[in-house]
Amino acid sequence: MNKDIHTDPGGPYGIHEDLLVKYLLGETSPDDNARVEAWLAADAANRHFYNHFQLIWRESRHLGDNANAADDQTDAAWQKFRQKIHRPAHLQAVKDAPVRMTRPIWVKIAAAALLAASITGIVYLAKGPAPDRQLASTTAPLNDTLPDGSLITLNKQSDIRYPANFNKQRTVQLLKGEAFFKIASDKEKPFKVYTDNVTITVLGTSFNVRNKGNATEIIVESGLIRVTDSIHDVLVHPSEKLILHRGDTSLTKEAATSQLYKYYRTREFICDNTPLPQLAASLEEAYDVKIVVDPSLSHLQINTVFRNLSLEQILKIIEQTFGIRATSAGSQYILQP
Amino acid sequence: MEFTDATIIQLLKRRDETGFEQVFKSYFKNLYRYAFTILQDHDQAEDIVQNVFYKLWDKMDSLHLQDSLAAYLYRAVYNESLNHLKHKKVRLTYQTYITRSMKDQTDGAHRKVMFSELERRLQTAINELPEQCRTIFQLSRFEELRYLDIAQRLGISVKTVENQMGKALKILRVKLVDYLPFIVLLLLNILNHRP
Repeated sequence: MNKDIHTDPGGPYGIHEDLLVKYLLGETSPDDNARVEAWLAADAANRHFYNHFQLIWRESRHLGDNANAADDQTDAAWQKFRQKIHRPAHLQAVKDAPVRMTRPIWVKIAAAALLAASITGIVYLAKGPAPDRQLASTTAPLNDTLPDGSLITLNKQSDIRYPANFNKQRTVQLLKGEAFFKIASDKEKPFKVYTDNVTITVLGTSFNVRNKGNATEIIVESGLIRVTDSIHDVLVHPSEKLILHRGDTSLTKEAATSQLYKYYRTREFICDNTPLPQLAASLEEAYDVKIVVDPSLSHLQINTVFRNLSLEQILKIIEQTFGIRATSAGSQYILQP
Repeated sequence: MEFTDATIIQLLKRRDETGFEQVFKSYFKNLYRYAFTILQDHDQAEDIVQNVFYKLWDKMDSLHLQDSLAAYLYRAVYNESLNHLKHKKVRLTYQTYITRSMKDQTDGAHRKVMFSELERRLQTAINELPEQCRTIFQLSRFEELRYLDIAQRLGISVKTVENQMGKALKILRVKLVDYLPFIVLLLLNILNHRP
C-alpha cells in the first residue's frame, strides 16, 4: 500500500501527473495533447499508468449515483429549514436544551476544529472573482464580437457566459441553444467552448454548436476542432458533423452535407436535395410554428435557396414546386397532396 | 446569474431570509450529494446539510470567511459527515448496506462485487484526501465543473486546481494500486465492447 510514487514501477517518467489528469479531463492545450499522446504511445507501462487514472476517475463517479436530489426535494428542505429558524425563541430553547446537554464532547472538539480550520485555513484571494459576462438572445438571432475579436452569432433563445478576463481565458459556456463561432486566431491561447457535457477546443476555426434536447451537434466550417467529454476525445474536420447524446456513450460522426443549419446566421435556407421534412423542421424552429408534413410527401427533396423570405412566401414556393397544398390553422401548417 | 461571495455575505449578515434562501437553494442539491457520497444514506445526508445551514444561520454575525463560501460549506459538510460516521458507528451500517446492495445485483453479479469493493476503497480514500484536494476533486467529479469554474467558485487560481487534481489522482492511485491491475484488464474488456 505505502509505495513511494517515485519508485513505483508503474509511475510516470518525464511527465507530470497534473498534466495527465488535465488530459484525462479534457483541459489540455493542443501542445499538451501532443506531449501526452507521445508519452502514452512510447511505452505500454505509461499507458497502463494512465489507465489507472482513467479507472479511478470513472469508478469514482458511481459514488454519487442515486444522490441526485430532485428540485421539489430542495424546496421541501428549505421549508423544513424555515420552520426551524422561525420557531419561537422560547420553544427553541426548550427543545434544543436537552440535545445540547447530551451532545458529546466530540461535537465541541469538532466545532473548535472547524473554527480553527476556518481561521488558519489557506488564505485565498481576498476578493471574489469578477462576475461573468452573459450574452443572451430572446426572439431573434444576435450577432456580437467577443473581447478577443472572435465573432459569434447566437440563434434565438440562446445563452452564453464567459469570464470577465476573457482575453486571458478564452472560454465560453453555451448554457443553452445554438451558436456559430468564427474564432480570432491566437495560438498562445486556445479557445474553448463548453456545453454541459462536451468541451470543444478550437484550433483556429469557424464552427457551429447546437445544444438542444438530448444532443450536442457540432459542425465545422473551417479549421480543426477537438471535442472532449468524460469518455471521448475526437478531432472534427471541416464539413464533418459530430453528434453526442447526453447520458449515452455513443457518438456519431457524419459528413455535414446539409447547409440548412446556417439559416439563423445567413437568413438563407440552403436546400440541396433536402428532404421536405428536414426543411419543415428548420422552418418550424425559425418561425416558431408547427408544420405537419403528410407522410406521403416525406420522400420529396428540394433544391433551392430561400433568401430573406417570409414563411408564407416560402410555403407558396413549396406549394408551386411540388403541386401540393399548404393549409394553416392558427400557428399550425399542414402540407398535403 | 450567481451572486458574488461578497454580495451573499452582505445579505447573510443582514439576516435577509430571501438572500439565505438563494444560498440554501443553490447549494443544497450539491452539498446533499456530497454528503451522500460519504454517508450513502439519504436521510442522514439531508440532516447533515440542514445542520450545516442551521449553524451558518445561527452564527452569521460572527462569521469570518477566510476563503470562499463554497469552500466553507463543503468543509463543514465533510466534517459533520465524518463525525457522524465515526461516532455513530454508521460504518457498520454502511458495510451492511454494501453487502445488501451487492445481493440485489442480479446481472453481472461477479463484476459488481469487484467494483463494489473498489468503490468502497475509493470512497475511503477520497474521504482521506487533504481538505482542499478533496473539495476540488468533489467539485470536478460530482458537479462536473471545469477547472475554470472550480477556480472561480473557490476563489483560487486555475493552476492550484490543476495541482490539486493531479495530487488527488496520484494519492488515490497509490492507495488503490493493489486493487487496480486486475480490474483494469476487466474494464478494458468491457470498454472494447462498447460501440
